Amino acid sequence: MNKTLVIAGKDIRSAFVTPLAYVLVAGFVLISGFFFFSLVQRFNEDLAQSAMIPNLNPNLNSWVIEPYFQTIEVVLIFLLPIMTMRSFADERSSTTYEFLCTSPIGICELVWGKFIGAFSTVFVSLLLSFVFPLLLLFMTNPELGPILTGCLGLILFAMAYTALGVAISAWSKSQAVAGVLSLVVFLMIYVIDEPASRVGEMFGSVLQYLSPAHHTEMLYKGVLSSSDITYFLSIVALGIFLGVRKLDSERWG
Amino acid sequence: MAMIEAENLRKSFGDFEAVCGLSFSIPAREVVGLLGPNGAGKTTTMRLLTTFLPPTSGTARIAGFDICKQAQEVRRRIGYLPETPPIYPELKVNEYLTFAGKLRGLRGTELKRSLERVIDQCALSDVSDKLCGQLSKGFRQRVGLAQALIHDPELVILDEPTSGLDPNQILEMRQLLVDLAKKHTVILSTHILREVEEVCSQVIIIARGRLVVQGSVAELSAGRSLEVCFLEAVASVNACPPKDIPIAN
Repeated sequence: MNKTLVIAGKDIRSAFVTPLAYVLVAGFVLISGFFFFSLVQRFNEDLAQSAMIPNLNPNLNSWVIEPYFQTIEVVLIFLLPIMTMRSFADERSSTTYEFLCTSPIGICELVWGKFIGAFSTVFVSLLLSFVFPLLLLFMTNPELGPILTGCLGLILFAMAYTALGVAISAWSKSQAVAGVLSLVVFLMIYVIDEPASRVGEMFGSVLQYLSPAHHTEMLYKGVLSSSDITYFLSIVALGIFLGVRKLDSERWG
Repeated sequence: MAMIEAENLRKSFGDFEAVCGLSFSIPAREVVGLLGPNGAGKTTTMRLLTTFLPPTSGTARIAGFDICKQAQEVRRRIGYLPETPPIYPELKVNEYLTFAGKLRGLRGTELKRSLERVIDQCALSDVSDKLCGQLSKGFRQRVGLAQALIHDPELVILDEPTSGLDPNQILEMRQLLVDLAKKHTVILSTHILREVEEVCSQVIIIARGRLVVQGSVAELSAGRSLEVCFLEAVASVNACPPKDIPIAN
């Protein structure tokens, strides 16, 4: 556990002493803020109209906060490859990879350390973007429960994709390959349930289960379900496993 | 007990055999020069000994620990400086060395004392607060050596430690290596014969992945220069087809 934190600590320090982390976090918050602003603006317009349309029940949680969290998912899909592609690929292109592999550190400790290091930048970005929905609590009266479970859902979503990104970085020889491959894989997983309604019930429900949006949906509505949480934690475990397997195969030939 | 015992080490990359049946034994507290022409397999041999690469067959023991079966124990006892010093340009020298020390299991006051010791040993006091990326080649090499020494390992493995250094820096580095021999076993790879003559007590000459000669510098260069010895050994290897290369005992 100790050496995991040593690796994570070093990666966090490396990220935050160069402009990269700050640019990514600032960019993320800027984009989130922009989407939040336009969602609130649209809500205000709908609120004005609802006086005239009797059945329109404007609800802050489902009209602003849920779409906001869903938008953040898409932003994450594009920014996470950039945040994770450096984790192993960077070391490989210099002799620091040799340095790490010949130090007395276990492969699991190394991969977990890289994951925690990569996730730290993501976590800071997410925390700052949570400020927007939490601001609403001071201005008006949304339900707190779905906001909190929604934040948890996004954190789990980000953890799962970060783990996959780190695994892809471990399998890639260069940062560019890691970044592009991560983006492709993340997009594929995100839209995997698109044909669900057209491929028969059994296969369709499998595809739906595999889609992360299906699992965050209930979390954004305020429903804390163990199957949703297990889904994301399983993907984290899968990512770590794939990373460990790759490094292990190199050590043993 | 020998510090390093290699038994029939082999490493192939696909069809190419980089190391073919290397066997040697190195006693403790010696400075050994691993000599060979470019492409002889020196770096690959070092990567096998440091457990970075797994051998295709054969094995080696470092301080009695097998590189395949007890790799973590081997890693605790070695310090390794690859050909390009493994530095992180965005970290300061003391941050990097602290990280290296923690990776080797050093903590608290022990870490602090080890850090001071290697900064002193490798003459890094003037640059300890500078970013690694801002250092010249000579200083980077010294930082790389410092990370290899911070945990006071029994065996220090250096891949071409003086490559790219100017004559002044080469002299300083060689003096450092001679001082190291008082407490550590050192194996360094080079193709500078003068270095071997000045710093090493033992020499291993390899060519085309095979051991050609092993012995003390004094014996091998008795009556003639080490250069002649080296050129003869390498010529004999190049003259033979790969299977017929004689292995020295």
